[in-house]
Amino acid sequence: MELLSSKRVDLVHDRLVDQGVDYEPLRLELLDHICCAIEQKMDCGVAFAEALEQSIHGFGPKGLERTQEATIYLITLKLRKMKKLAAISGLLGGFLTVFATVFKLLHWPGANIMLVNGIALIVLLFLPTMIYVQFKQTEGVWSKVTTVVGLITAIAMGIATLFKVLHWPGASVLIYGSSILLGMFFMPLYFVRTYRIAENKLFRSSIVIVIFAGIFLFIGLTQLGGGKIFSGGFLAIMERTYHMQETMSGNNAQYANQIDEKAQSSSEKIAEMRSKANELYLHLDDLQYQLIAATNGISVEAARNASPEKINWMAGPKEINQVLFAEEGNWTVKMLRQKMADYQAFALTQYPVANQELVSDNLSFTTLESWEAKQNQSWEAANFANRPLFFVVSYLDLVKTETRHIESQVLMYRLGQSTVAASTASLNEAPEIES
Amino acid sequence: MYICLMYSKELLKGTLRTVVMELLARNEKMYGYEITQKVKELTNGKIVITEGALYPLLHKLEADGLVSIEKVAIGKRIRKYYSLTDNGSSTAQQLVEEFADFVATMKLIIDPPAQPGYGTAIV
Repeated sequence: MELLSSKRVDLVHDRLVDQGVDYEPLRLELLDHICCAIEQKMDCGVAFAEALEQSIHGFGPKGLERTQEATIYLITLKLRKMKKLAAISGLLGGFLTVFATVFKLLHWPGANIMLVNGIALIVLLFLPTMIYVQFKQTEGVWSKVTTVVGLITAIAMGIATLFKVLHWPGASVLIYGSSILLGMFFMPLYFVRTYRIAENKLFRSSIVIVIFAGIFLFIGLTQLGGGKIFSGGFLAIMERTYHMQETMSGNNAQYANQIDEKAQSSSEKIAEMRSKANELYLHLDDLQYQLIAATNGISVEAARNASPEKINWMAGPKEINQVLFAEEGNWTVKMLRQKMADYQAFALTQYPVANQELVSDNLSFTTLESWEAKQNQSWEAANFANRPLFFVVSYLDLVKTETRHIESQVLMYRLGQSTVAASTASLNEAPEIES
Repeated sequence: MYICLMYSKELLKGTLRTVVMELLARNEKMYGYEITQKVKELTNGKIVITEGALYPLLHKLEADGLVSIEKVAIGKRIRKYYSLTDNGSSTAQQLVEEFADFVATMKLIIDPPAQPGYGTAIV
């Protein structure tokens, strides 16, 4: 048997390319096969051109193309199954995680179950299948490096998220570490590598969804960025409020002194009013630190000494509910309401009975009865139930300010009274000019 | 899948894998064209394997790690020789045993052995 000349081999090769056999491993193999068949036919006296036609026709119409299709179908069967699994588990896990994060931020029930399932889907199904697909699909050192970096990043992210959700120590280190891996190593590598591969949109979109879920989770659970801006504003308002309360307290002390100078007789009553106001103010102050201590898991002493930036103002509402809605105790809302009502009632007794009705609106905490009537909701439920720390502490600050305000009202009234009394007295003491 | 003069497509479906792996088990290494010719020769032309069925199968066996390949340059062409891996050898053996068992079972149906006692009086 005589071998075909290289020129004729080239002719057969060109013919295979024309027929659409572009998968090279198969084309080279079919080239050898057809050449063998031609050689055998030529041995039997058939001319090259006809032997070539017969061999090509032996495959049937579009036979070469179909052979290629069948080959690629068979060798990629497992890969396609894995791709489908990766796509489905990725989309499902990603969506579950995103929804769970939204649920968690809104304090809706079921968030933790969704989150654990979503992360389990991603870590146990999506990641292993995706790593397999990536390894099978890609060739070259850089693609393999991307895959390995992606695996490490994804595992770190999954573990970090679980740590954060379960409140285990070290979560923030893992979060920062995996964020750096994700943003500085994996994402640039991945996008550079895969930008050119435009096949299988479902598969690629699942990856994007999972990446978004991860970023979403990090921002949502750690309050990076937004949380800092929020707490900065909150702390500034708290500081201004405190200064306002101090100013009011200083003014009230001055009023009291002026009253004392003008009319010694009423000084006992003034002192009682001042001590009642201070008593309620200190109770509110103590209550704030009780709540900070309970939500942040530190002692009251530590809460008083802690710098405001170190306190987690988003904490609660579980611990707050436990303190404020306990059966009994000094720090319940019930006790607070009692103290506020007593203070209000005492302030009212500083006025003559005839004037009490007139001034009672000015002397009540704006938020007790009037609020309930307008909102059709109890004061306790609206301002304390299921609220985070920053909300309750701000509200208690408002009550503190109002305590000082009521004190001011009473003292200003007394000051007015004693001024009138003093001038009346001085008029009475004046020598009569005319009889 | 098959161009076959003697047997129906349904009958041969599923045996191609067995045929190819058994041939590779008997011969140390073979290339595609050689396999088609060998089958034709062994069966006196009763079974002819088409290229359209053979090559996808060979590539699948390679992807599954059942065969290893060796490339030899023949002039300008490259000939790809296939041989069974260890894994492939045991798979080939299983397939052949299964098929032999199947043929024996079929024989029981087509040609049941005579059973004494039925319809004959023992004297």
